[in-house]
Amino acid sequence: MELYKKSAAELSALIKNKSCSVEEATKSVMDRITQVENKVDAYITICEQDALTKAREVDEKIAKGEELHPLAGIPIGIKDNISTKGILTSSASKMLSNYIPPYNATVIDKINSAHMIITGKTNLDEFAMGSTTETSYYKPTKNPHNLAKTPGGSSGGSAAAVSAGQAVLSLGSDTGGSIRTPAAFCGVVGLKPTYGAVSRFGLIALASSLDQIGPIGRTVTDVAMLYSLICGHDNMDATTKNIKHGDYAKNLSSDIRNISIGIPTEYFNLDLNDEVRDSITKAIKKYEELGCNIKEISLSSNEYALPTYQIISAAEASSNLGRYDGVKFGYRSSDYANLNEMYVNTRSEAFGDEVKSRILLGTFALSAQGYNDYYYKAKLMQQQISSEFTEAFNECDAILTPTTLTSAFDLGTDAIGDADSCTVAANLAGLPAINLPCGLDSDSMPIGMQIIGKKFDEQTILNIAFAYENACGIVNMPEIV
Amino acid sequence: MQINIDQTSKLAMLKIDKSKYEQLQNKLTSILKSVDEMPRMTEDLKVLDADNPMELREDIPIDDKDRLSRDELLSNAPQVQAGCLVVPKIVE
Repeated sequence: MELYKKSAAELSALIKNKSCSVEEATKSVMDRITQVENKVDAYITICEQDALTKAREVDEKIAKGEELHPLAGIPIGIKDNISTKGILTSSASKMLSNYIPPYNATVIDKINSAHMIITGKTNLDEFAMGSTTETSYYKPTKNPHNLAKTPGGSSGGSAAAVSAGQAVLSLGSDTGGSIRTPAAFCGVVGLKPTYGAVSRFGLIALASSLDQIGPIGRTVTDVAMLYSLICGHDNMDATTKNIKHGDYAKNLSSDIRNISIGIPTEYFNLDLNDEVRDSITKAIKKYEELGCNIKEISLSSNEYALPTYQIISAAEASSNLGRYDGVKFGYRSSDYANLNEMYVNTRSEAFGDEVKSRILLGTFALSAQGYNDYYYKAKLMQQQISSEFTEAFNECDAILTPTTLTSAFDLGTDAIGDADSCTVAANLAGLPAINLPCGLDSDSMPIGMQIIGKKFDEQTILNIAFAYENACGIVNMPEIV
Repeated sequence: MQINIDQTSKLAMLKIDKSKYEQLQNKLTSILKSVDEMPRMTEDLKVLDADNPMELREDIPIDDKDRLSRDELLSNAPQVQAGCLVVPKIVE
């Protein structure tokens, strides 16, 4: 039995009814990693021995009759910007290439308490800055559907691992599309939760007012199961909201009759690839067949979302990355004569070009010269974008857009930024948004649609995605050649 | 507007290779140009999410069992001596 091909829900049932052990499931995924990792390059660190030891421990608990979480024993890959105690957490940067966190992120504590099996740490763009994983200090990840193409980014390793069967589930982080873009390019499901739904304690910060951790899986049910586990208030992250979360997987419903879906015309005026446009149009028709009310809506400031995002995220990144000075942790240059030189040489030697360019942009936007005309202006635009969403949600329950303008493009294409055109607005407005595969293009590359919901209404967008998935199926696991 | 790379890189504690100035300048100028072309919507910045503000925890120490030891905290430091971080001398 090729257990690595099973969804988390299927594996959970197989483990529960003792058709397979956790060790067998884990071994199957680890063997798959051995088989394809040299082609896909999804991982920075692989935790094979720890995973197998943990798997045997979970099997012992099951043998003793302990009642375990439904995700117990499910192999999961973790984006390498999420702190894992005792395991290298590099954020794909030379700066943290020796950093072993002394504590776990809150989401990792939750994963451990559910007895999930961590397979390893997945590749990303350096400090999550990018849309292709090519800015990783280590290596670019390849798209499992076509190894010459990008898996998207920044959570490219997490999406590629799930797509290729190198993990059953994974965690990514999303600041401007970093879960949804790679999910779209790799043909998997990825959820960026509402800002404040999931604790970021232990997430290596990019832009703190936009960052969210979220789940990636091959099915909507799997994503709902993992989201139910990781969401919730955390004393260690003051931005998490103390609201009641239900069991999003148990509450999934494919009855979406009379749900109203808004279609923002502005997204369709973007430079959309024809095949993406066709796929999204077909998906909209499918939703009509499923009984939804389709409404044209307007999000007129969307055209300014990308520059707004670029300024705000760079400003916050320049501030967050100020901590990397070669003193308390991480890389330190060996070439310095005084303290100032140590700071400058450490940062200049250990940050990559993309990170440096964003720090420069952010430093400028927060300087006396740039603050009013750039940072403050972008914050005003963010407010406008957010209020347009609030108005739109008076007319509809959810909003459907493409996730990306094209399917995955070739590695080496200079497309940093453009890949995020459809995704950044949800981050600026703090809204939940999910990528769902909605077809393949003529080169058999996956196409994704994005469903954006009201704050803390993840259930509605999960249901909308679930109904489509039930009607149209999921993307087959690619042959990796 | 153009970014003065010399001045900004000093503020950011970065040394930028001169050969990369032009490429950086072009990239950053194009982002700034997009912002220049953006309308200025209002002058009032409201507090985001004012009706659902952050909840700060009490300012009290956490339990000993959850606290990291000094050794754990210093375990990733590039240079440590007698339980302290070592940096280059700043007083000549």
